[in-house]
Amino acid sequence: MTDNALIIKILEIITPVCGELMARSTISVHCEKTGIRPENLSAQHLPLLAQRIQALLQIFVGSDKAREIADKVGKLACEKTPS
Amino acid sequence: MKTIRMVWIVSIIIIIANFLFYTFRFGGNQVLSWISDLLPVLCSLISLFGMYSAFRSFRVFDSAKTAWLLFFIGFILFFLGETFYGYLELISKIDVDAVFPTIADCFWIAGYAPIIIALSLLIRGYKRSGLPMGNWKKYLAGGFLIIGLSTGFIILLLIPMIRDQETRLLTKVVSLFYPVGDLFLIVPAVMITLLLNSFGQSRMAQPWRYLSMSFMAMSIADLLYSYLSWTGKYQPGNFTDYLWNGGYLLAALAGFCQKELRESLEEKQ
Repeated sequence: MTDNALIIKILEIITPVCGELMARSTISVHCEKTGIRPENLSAQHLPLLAQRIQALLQIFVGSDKAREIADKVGKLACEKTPS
Repeated sequence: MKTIRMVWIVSIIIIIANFLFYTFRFGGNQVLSWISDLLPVLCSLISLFGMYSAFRSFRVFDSAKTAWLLFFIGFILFFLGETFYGYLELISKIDVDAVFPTIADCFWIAGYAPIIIALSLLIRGYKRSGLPMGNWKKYLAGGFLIIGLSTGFIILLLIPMIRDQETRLLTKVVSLFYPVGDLFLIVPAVMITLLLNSFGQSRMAQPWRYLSMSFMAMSIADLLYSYLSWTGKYQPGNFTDYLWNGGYLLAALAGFCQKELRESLEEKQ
């Protein structure tokens, strides 16, 4: 999973908040549910993934903080990331 | 981190003082009664501060803030229960066991509803994320724990209480409410503990971890108390008090951890 540069960036954003185990689990569950292979995760998949991250975080950190973190993940789509 | 460290230090001091007074009985039974009644008041007051600071740390009135508000309300009611109990026993010199149930029980009983709703809000919020609810084997183990407690409760308390002809109906109902209510607390608390296994040592899970430990401690204390008091073995200075006091202090830690988690996210911005 860590071969994908985009996933590394997502993990950098969410790991400090929810811990490495849950961060990885969130991404892998998302990939599983949407039928994407983790190595193929790309910018077009980010809006949905950001929604899932927001849904996970809001009960723990509040909806405002969850939205901010999800926005950061969503914005990665605008960055040029080598895949 | 300063607040959490301070709460830890205060908690350890309280538990050590609790242990010393219960073991060495300085000042005799009179002092023991005061310690036994006042420490829960102090510990529940500390838990109130924790719950309030967690509630205050949320800006948006969403399900997370609502859950912490409900915990806060529940702990206000528990605090009032502890205060009235202490007042009746220490100031009014009433034998609370003889007049059971008292006004203190009204507050304790009322405290269960907001706490159970808050716990279910947390679990529902997690469920909405679509993330795995955990390993079935662990649920099976949790299920056995709950079935074990329920069986013990039915055999040791429920059946003898129902069969007892001398006890008033109101006394029976209130006596049985606590262990039944506690089972409703233990189920979500065990579920939360199982969910948190997927989080490792994440800071985000810390408040929930303390909360579930707190409810488990208090529920086990209640179950033990119900049994000991039914069999006439409960006296001030009983070891179950550690579980109540510890439960309140763990709830305080949960609240302060939640507050510090929110603050750390604000700082990172």
